[in-house]
Amino acid sequence: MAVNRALELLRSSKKVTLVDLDFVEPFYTLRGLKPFLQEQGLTVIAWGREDSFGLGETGSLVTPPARWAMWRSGDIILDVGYGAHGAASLNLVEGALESEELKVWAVINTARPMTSTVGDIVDYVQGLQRVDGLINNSHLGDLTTIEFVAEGLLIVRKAAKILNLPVIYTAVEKRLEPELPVADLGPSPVKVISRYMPAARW
Amino acid sequence: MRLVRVVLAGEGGQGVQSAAEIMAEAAYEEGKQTIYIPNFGLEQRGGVSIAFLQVGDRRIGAPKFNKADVVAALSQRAMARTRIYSGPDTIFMYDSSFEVTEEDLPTQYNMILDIPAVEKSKELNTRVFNVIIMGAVLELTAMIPVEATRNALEKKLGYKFEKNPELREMNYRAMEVGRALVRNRLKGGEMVCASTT
Amino acid sequence: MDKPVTGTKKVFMTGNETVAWAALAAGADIMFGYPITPQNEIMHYWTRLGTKYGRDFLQTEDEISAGFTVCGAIIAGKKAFTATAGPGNTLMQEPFSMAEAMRLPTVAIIQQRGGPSSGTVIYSQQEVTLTTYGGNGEGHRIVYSTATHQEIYDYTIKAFNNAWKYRFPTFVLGDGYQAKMREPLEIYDPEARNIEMVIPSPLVGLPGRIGIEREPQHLCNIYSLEDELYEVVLQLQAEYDRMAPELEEYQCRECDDAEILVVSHGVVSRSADDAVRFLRAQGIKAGAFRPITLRPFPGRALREILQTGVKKMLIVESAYGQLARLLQQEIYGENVPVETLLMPGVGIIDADIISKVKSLIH
Repeated sequence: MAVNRALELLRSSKKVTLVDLDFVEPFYTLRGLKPFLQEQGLTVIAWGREDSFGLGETGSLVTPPARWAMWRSGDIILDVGYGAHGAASLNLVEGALESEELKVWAVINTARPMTSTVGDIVDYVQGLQRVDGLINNSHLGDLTTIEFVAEGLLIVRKAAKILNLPVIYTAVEKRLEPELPVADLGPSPVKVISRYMPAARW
Repeated sequence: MRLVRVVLAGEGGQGVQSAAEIMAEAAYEEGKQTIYIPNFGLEQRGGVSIAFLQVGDRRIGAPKFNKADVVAALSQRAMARTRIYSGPDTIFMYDSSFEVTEEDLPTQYNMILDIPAVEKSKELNTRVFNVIIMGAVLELTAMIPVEATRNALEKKLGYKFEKNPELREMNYRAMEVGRALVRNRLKGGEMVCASTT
Repeated sequence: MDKPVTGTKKVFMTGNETVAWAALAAGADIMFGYPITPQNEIMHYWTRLGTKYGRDFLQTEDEISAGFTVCGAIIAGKKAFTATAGPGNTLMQEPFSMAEAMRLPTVAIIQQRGGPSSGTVIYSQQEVTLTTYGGNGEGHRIVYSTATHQEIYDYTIKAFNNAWKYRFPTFVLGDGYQAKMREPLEIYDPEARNIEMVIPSPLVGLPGRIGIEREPQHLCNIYSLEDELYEVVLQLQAEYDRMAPELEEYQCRECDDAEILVVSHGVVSRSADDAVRFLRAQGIKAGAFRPITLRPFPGRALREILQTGVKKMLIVESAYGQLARLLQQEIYGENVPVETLLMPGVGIIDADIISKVKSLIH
């Protein structure tokens, strides 16, 4: 999500910074993509092994550039990551929680049992410190069908209503783009996304 | 000299291992080949305590063996545990004070004999019970000269003897008592000898 | 109380999250754990989800304690489990040895990472020796090596059932990739699929007066004499041998007329399957054998397959010979030449296997 959004912004903005705050799976995130993204013109703040040499397993860092990312000019995307405690890491970014310019969007995949029903989504979002909107990213990887995305959207919209939050958009993989015109995915916008995450072996 | 094999067994704290160590030390000082290995349980006090001792002229292969020349049981419980080490050539020895049943005695033996070591130890000091047994074992096997054993005793317990010279005498007496008990038994009969079956 | 999983549901999540759901569905009562990458999320999801269903959790001071508390909880009659990796797995060998000695149905999920020592936090298949024979015993354990998230779910449930039924410490051997990657699977209520779920009961404090109405329960892990231990170990082995045929599992793709047999386990077997498919399309008679149980190892089945005309065996693993050693002891005497593709701590893709097979043929 974050990578897609960053690249999208790059088309209309001069300066976009993408910050990796995923401490759950740091080796899964932007490290491998960093060179590619930087070539596209993005500024990427993601720690690499060379930055934490000698710290081994404990080298999951908030680097100074990540901590003070909010002070940068231009557009900033903070990727907070998957997992049970993802949003808590916003604590570590100076000024993140208080900023009015920053929007915190919770990406919901109804294929994850923890956020598969309206009730679960409401509980989950209320457990996060600060959320300004929901994104429907309901999918089953390679087995995703457009119907699944649409069903997910219905659930996410109901939850959003209870939480009094907007549904920012629905994400649809490029592979399913041909089926978009017939699918019922309104009224929130639909964004077509590409999978940039390296195959990472699997 | 041919290889002599001895099993000593009793409860932890009776001095089984000490007796075996002293004999092994004595044999070594005499220039013999010797191996001694303990088997004991995990208990800090009491529990099983078995010593396997071998003395000979040639290098000894393994620390364990199937049948002993002498088995000496210092407690009743030890009898049942060590009867398996008694074979057709074994002398199986235990104390006269034990209340022995069929299950305690070996099925194969050359000789079974009991000596009143516990009773005699009360005349000296119950603590030297194991030294009496040691004397008995030495008399039965003749594997080490008495002098050598006295020296070994000195080496192990010398520091105690320094403090209390009476102990030295007591231990030497205990050894002699053990030897005498065996001699009396062998002369006087009343022990069980192997049948021809 | 509601069941955590009802019916069947298609989901998309990481391997670690899958473990937590499977443990819930299996009715696990309590997890003891200690953090170590890459299995931390099992703990995170268990604590987050478990409270809703009355399940318990305790973080212990280290992995040694985590393993022993699992043993204790089991003796008290609870379905207990733990998860660990790498150095944590090394530490847990002490409690696992106790579980072998006392026949305790421990369940542990292992997510292999690079070794030796702290190695990497990422991935490997270098804990095979440790998980199959790691304690100071004879390896009387049940070890499942999973390759997909569906299997993680299925075999975690099976681990609880078989551990309690057969009374050997049981392991689900995964790895850092499986732990962290995301893929679709179906989670389900096992009882809805007629899977008989074991009901645990305490091993001590049983009803009846000791010596009068029943014998005392002797959960023993120490003996005084060599002979006592000898008898006990022989008995353990006899029981293990008796149960082995009921437990062994394996998979074979295109083995019937294979001339070159690729042997692998766990996540690497996915690449092996892809490689074999590709090679067959090119007219090469390749087959893929995959033991699912590393203990007991399906040695009989492998021997039978080798008799069908296999000319060469290629052992592929992300370790330096741990699978190979396990295998070779099982097929000793077979004449098939053995080659290896050993990549300790490194992921193996189909292209790696394909090029190795081709190099062996030409």
